[in-house]
Amino acid sequence: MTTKLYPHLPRLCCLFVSGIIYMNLLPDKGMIHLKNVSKIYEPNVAALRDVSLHIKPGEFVSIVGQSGTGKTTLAKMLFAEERPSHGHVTIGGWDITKIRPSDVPFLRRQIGVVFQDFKLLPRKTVFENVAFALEVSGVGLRRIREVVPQVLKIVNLDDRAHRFPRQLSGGEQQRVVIARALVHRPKILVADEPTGNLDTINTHQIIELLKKINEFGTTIVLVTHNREVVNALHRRVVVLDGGHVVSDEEEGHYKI
Amino acid sequence: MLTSTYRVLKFAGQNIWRNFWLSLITVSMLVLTLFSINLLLILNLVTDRATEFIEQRIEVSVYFKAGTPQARATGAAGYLRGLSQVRDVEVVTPEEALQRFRVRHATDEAILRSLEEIGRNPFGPALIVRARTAADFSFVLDALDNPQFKNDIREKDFTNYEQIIQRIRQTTDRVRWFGLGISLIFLVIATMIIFNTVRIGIFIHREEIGIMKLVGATDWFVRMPFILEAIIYSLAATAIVAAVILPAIAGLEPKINAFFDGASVGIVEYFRKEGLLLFTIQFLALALLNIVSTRMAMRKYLRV
Repeated sequence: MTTKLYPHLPRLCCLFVSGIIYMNLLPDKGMIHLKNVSKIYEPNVAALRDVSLHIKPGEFVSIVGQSGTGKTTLAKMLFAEERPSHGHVTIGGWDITKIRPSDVPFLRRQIGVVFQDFKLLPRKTVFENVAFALEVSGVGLRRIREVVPQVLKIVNLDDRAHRFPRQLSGGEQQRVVIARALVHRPKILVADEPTGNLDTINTHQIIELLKKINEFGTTIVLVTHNREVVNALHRRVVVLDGGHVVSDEEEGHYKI
Repeated sequence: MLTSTYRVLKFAGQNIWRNFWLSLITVSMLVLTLFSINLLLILNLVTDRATEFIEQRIEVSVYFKAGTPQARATGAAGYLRGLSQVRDVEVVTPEEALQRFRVRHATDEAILRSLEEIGRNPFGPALIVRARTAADFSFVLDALDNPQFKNDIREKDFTNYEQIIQRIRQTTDRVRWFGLGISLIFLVIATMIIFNTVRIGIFIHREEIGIMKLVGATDWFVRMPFILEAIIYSLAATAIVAAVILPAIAGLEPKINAFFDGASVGIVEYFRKEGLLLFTIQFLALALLNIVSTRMAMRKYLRV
C-alpha cells in the first residue's frame, strides 16, 4: 500500500539525503535527555513529576498515556514552549533548561513539530505554507524554490503544491505539516497526536511517513493515545501516568 | 539580512492592506494631528508678521502751533532721534503740511474754500515720530512733555496701537492655546488608535505569529512588521500633510498678503527654507511616539 501511495518515494528521498548525511555525521544532535524534570503549574498542579528519560539519536519513541498525564507538556518542553520547574532538559547536548528567549528560534529550526490541529495558514497554498517556515528564518528565495518541492515530493504532495489547505483531506493537510516540519532538516521530529483528527487510512499513511523519516535517522517523539498505532509500531513506548513515567519498554505496547 | 528585511516589509505591507479601513482611520488621525500642529505654526508666523507690520506703522503726529519757528521743530526732532525707543522722526514744514492737507481734501470744496478765506497758512510745523515697539509709545509721549517744547505743541495725535497689538496678541494666544489643546487631543487619540491597530493586528495575525514562532522566526522578525507599520503610518501622514499644506499656503499667501498692503507674510518662503527640516522633525516625532505606542501594545498582547 505504501508503495502504491508513494511510488517515487525511494528515489525522491535521495534528494533529502544530503541533510540526513549531515545529521548522521553528528549523531548526538538527535539525542534527548531529561533529568528529574518536573513541571508545576500555579498554584500547585504538577503536570510532570521527576521524569528522567534518555532518547538516543535516531530512536522512534511513543509517549502514551491518558489525557492530562503530562504528554503534551513533555513534548512542549522539547521545543522550549514550556520550561521545567525543576530538572534539566538537554537536546543534542544543548542544555535548554534555561534557554534564552533569543536562542529559542535556533532550537526550533532543529526540531520539527507536528500537531493534531495542523496549524496551517488557510490563505496560503501548500507550497507557501511549507515555504513560510523557511521565509521567516531568512532563507533565500532560490533555496526555498529548491527545498520546498523536495519535501513536498517526500510527503507525496508535489501535485497539490498550489492548492489551499481547505482543498485537501485531513491526511493531506497533516502531510503538509510534516513537510513544513522537515524543511529545516530537523534532527528531531516531535509529533503531538498527529493522527488525532484522522481516519484509519490517513493515520496509517502518516505513521508510515514518520517511520520513513525515522529510517533516515531523524529522532521521532510521537505523543499519542492511539492504541493501534502504538501496538503496530513495535518501537519504544514510554507510558506516563499522573506526570510520572510508569513504564519504559524498548519494544512496548499500549498498556494503561 | 536583505531577504529578511524585504520579508518584514512585505508582512508590514500585508498588515496595512488587510486592515485597510483601520489603517485609513489611523493615518487620518495622524493627519489631523499634524494638520493642527502645522496650522498653529502658520498662525504663529502670521501673528508675528502682523505684530511686526503694525509696530512698523506706529507713529505719533506732533503738531506745533502755527507760527512756531521751524528751528524749534527741528530741535525737537533731534532730541527725539537721540532716544533709543524712537525709530524714525520725519519733519513736516508748515508748507508741506498745507500741501498735504490740500491733497487729502482735494475733493472737499467747502474745506478748500474756508482755507482760502483764512488767507494764510494755518499750519505750524509737525513731526511724525515712529517708535520701535508698541510698548515704547508711552515713553515717547512722556518725552514730548519736556517743558522745552511743551508750550509749542498744539496737539499730539496717535492711535492707541498698543491696545490693538495687545488685542491681537490676546486673541492669537487664545487661538494658540486652543490649537495646542486640539493638537494634544488629536495626538492622544492617534496614539490610542495606533495602540489599538497593533492590538487588532496581533489578534488577526495570532495564528500566523504562533506558527512563525513555532517554525523558528526570531523575535525581531515577529515584532519588526508592527514597528514598520507604525513608521509607514507616520510617513504616510507626514507626506499627506506636506502634500496638502504646501500648495495650500502657496495659494493662500497672496490673499493673506493683501492684509499687509501686499507685503509678503513669508509663509511660503519659510516653508521653502525650513519645510524639509520641519516635516522631517514632525515625521520623526510622530514615528517615535507611534513606536512607543506599538511597543506598549506588543508588550501587552504579543507573547513572543
